[in-house]
Amino acid sequence: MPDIFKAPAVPKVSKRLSIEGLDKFSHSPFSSFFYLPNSVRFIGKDSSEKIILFLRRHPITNIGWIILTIILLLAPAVLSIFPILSFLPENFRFIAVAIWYMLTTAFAFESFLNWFFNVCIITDKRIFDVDFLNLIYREISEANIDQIQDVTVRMGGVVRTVFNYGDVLIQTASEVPRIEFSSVSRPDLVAKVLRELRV
Amino acid sequence: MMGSSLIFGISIWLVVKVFVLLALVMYIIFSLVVIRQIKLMLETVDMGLNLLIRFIGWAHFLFAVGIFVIAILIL
Repeated sequence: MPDIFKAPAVPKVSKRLSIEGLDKFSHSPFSSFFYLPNSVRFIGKDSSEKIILFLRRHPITNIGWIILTIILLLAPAVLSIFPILSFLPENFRFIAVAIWYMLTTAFAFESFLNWFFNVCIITDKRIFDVDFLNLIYREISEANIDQIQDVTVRMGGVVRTVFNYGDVLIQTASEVPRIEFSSVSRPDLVAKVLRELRV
Repeated sequence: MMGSSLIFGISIWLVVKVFVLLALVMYIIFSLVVIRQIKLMLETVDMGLNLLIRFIGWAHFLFAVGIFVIAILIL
């Protein structure tokens, strides 16, 4: 039977913004500012939806846990000079050091996962803020681009100014009144992208 | 030294061994939770590094199991 009505095919949106300098950023999966990432998929993504920006916290925010991990890794070697564990038998001493390294590994891996998977995504239709608050608790806030009412960029402090990162606060008319992109690289550029997507 | 400290006729090191093994069992459970967490994270956002991250999660779990086995053998 012939079709009575055939909906016209929706043309694929190839949203390229006219903002200068967006293409020059790294396309590594570890990048904190990723423009038009083709290899990224996320939960609930429509087939016609295109990711414009993929953001995570600036890499410099990892410096705290990286320094702490190095200190924790070096601690057994440094503390071996002092006879702190000398009251323990040799086999218990070995297991104590092994457990120490195991806990250090867990701390470093958890900190890395926390940075790597807490992401902010701007598509041509929606914005997403994905937060993993602890081991198994996930929070995803989303709002449509046309529900964005106001975008505020918050930058302050020496480190943030030097490394050019800050918070982008997005007021929305959706169920989630405010979405916050925390410590993202080049917040002014992110705000510019959002502004361009809204018009 | 190992059998010199006794509490109610039980070596103190035996008690310590039991506590160490219990702590390691809890750690193994934690490493399984981490594997579950990685699965959940990769379902949420997929950045093309699935294999590497899954591998680190499983290596961490095997490391914990290895330490547990070594603790049983040498303590």
